[in-house]
Amino acid sequence: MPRLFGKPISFFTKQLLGIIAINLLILAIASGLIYSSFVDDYRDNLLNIMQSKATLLSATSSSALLFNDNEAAHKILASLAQYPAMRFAQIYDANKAPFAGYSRAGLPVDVSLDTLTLGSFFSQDNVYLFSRIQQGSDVLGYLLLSADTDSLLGRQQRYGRIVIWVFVLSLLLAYLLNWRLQKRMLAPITQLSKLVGSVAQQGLYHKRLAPRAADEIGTLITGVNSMLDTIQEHQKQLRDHNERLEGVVELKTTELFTRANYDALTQLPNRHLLTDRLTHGIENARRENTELALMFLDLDRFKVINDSLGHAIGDQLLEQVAAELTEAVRKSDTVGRWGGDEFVILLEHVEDKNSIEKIAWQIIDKITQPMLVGGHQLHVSASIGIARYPQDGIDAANLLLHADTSMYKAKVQGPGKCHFFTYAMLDASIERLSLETQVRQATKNKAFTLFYQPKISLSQQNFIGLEALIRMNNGDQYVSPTAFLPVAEDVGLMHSISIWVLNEACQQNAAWLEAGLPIVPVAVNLPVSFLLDQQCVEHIEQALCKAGLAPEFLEVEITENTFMASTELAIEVLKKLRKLGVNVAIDDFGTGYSCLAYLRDLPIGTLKIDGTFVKGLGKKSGNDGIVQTIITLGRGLGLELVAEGVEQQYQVDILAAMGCSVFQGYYFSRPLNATDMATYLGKPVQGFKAR
Amino acid sequence: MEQPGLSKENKIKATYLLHFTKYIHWPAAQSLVPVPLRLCLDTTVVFYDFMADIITRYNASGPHRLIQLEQVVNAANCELTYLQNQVQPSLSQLSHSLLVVESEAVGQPHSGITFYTLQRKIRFSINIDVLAGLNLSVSSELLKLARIEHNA
Repeated sequence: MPRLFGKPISFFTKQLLGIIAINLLILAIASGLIYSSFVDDYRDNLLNIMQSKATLLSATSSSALLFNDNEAAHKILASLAQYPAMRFAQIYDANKAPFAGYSRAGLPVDVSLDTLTLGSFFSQDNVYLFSRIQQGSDVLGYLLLSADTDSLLGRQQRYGRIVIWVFVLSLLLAYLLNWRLQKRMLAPITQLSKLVGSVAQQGLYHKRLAPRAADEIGTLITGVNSMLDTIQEHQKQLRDHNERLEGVVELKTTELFTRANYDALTQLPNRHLLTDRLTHGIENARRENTELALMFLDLDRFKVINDSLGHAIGDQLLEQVAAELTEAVRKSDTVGRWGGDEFVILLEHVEDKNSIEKIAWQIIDKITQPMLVGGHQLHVSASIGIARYPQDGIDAANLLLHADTSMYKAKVQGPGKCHFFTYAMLDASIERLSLETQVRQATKNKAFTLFYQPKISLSQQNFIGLEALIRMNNGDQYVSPTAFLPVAEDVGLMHSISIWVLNEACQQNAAWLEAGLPIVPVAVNLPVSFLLDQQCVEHIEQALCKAGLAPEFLEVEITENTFMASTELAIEVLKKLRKLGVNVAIDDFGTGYSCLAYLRDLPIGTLKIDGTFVKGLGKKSGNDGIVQTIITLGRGLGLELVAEGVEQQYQVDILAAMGCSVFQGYYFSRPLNATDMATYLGKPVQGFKAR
Repeated sequence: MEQPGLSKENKIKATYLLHFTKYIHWPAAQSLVPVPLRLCLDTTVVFYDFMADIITRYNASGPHRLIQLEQVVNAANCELTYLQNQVQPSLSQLSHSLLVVESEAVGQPHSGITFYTLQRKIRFSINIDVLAGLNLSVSSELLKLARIEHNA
């Protein structure tokens, strides 16, 4: 910003200076013109006087010239002495010879007639006039006059002083008048400036200026007042809007807080809030020197229910489980949803391990109770892993990790179990992680192989079927299905593995048939998650169609647990398979929770007695009784009975005596790869030969 | 020494005589047409010829009153008469004429203008009473150059 004497120049000062500058310019121009006009007038006047004198002298001297009376001419010229400015006067005759003259003392005639032309001119601060003396058209002579311009210079100086005084006084007057005028005219603008300043700095919008006359300033004041009205109204609206917005923000903040910290489905604390509370709980426990327990709970077979009955049923089940869990613990404890079907329970101020275990079992019991969800009576169970502070970890991350690890350990033990963390689990956990990686890799590279174990019919003296058993090649060795299939189930690869097994078994059986071998039905184990999939039957049909294999050469083996998730849906699928022509066998019968009543209506053709019962034959009377009961039950229902895990001759004898006629086990053949199985199919049954 | 022809002095006088017509105003003639100023001479032939010559040129020079030159003896009426010698004042043609005499030596009574020599210059005197009697108006310029005389 421009400054004057170190201070910023205000707009009004600049305007005043601008006006003064314009006035200065105009005054300078006017003064110059006036001065120039004055000087020109005076000079013209001087010339006129000279001309008048010349005219007069010419007139009066013409007779002297005519009558050659130079004395008379001298007298005439002598009259010029009364004019101090006149330097000299000279009369020449018609031949330009000097006739008479006058000269101020000491002044010579300083011009030559030869260079003179008629008229007047200025030279060296003198003015000269050279004219003819005529009478009519006759030239009688010439007159030369010269006068100094001292009076002109004097006049110039005087005019100059006058002009300067006029200029200075006009300037002062212009300054004073403009200053006064501006002060008067700018008073309302100053008021406006103060008003705008107070509005801008203090936010006071209620102030107004009094209206003025209907000139530009009045219009400006009216405009500013109107603008302030609008701003005041807008401020009010803005205030109202802000209040509404603050309300909305508060509401949204609450919602965001809820969303950020609570699970939308179960309204339980989510992972974020759980971690926060766990951290605080640990801090409290550390400060108060108490213990806390962290339970990691996972619902068993929840994926089966979710996939088979739909997500809506799954969500309802989760809500119900959440409610059950909340009821199962103290109000001071925290129940949260970790994600999916995983819940976390934080128990603070716990007394000892026993009390924790007691609570865990209470929770499992409560969850295990049948639940009516969406018209379906569902049986679920939960696996709980438990980690304690400070024994199993001193921070939230470690406690959560260790509780999770314990939960997997509990799951391995079977549904509805709980397990406390031990540091030895970490190794197992690492192994499981490695196995998980191997399963993913094998699924991607199709690094699975099917082995086939024959089922031998005692009555037919021949093998009547094969069971396809999957093996995973991890690069070094074949991994047992009991090791990697639970992992595959956990990581969601079971479905694609099942489809692969189906296709591979069907294509292999078809290949044997095409090779001219006497093929028999090949049984594949399908997990409950696959069986309850809505496209299960389509997948099986596609596998048969793709291989060109008749449905009677495929058998599906399922476990009793298939019916625990949803009996109605399972039965519906089995009926479709039977209708298709595919036989269904219940594998590992006797180890699960079978309801004998529904066996009657199940569309199954075979019961496979679990190998643990076969292994216990002849050793425990209770075991033999169970086997006998199963055989009696199967025969009573018209089902084919297959004894698994037969490894000894006496087992064959006992089973045969009980009425079982089909066997599967190492006694007859270990599981063989496809090549060895082709050879086997072309030979008599080894077991019978041995027998 | 007198040169053959007219002397310088007489030439000057002849010229002055012509100039007098410019500074003296004769009463207007009662005529609808311009009437020339009749200048009568009683001089030598040489003077007369010289005068005739300059009057001819004068008359041809511009729009002014013409001058008619005549011999006194031949003139019927003269308005301006130049005399080198005394003449009979009773001549009727001179009764209203302004008489200019060559010098005081001419001794012509009732002469209005008389040439004389002063410091070797031709000067003239004017008897304003005579001119007043003739009802003539004389320019002050001329009077300023002349020696003013009155009737005795």
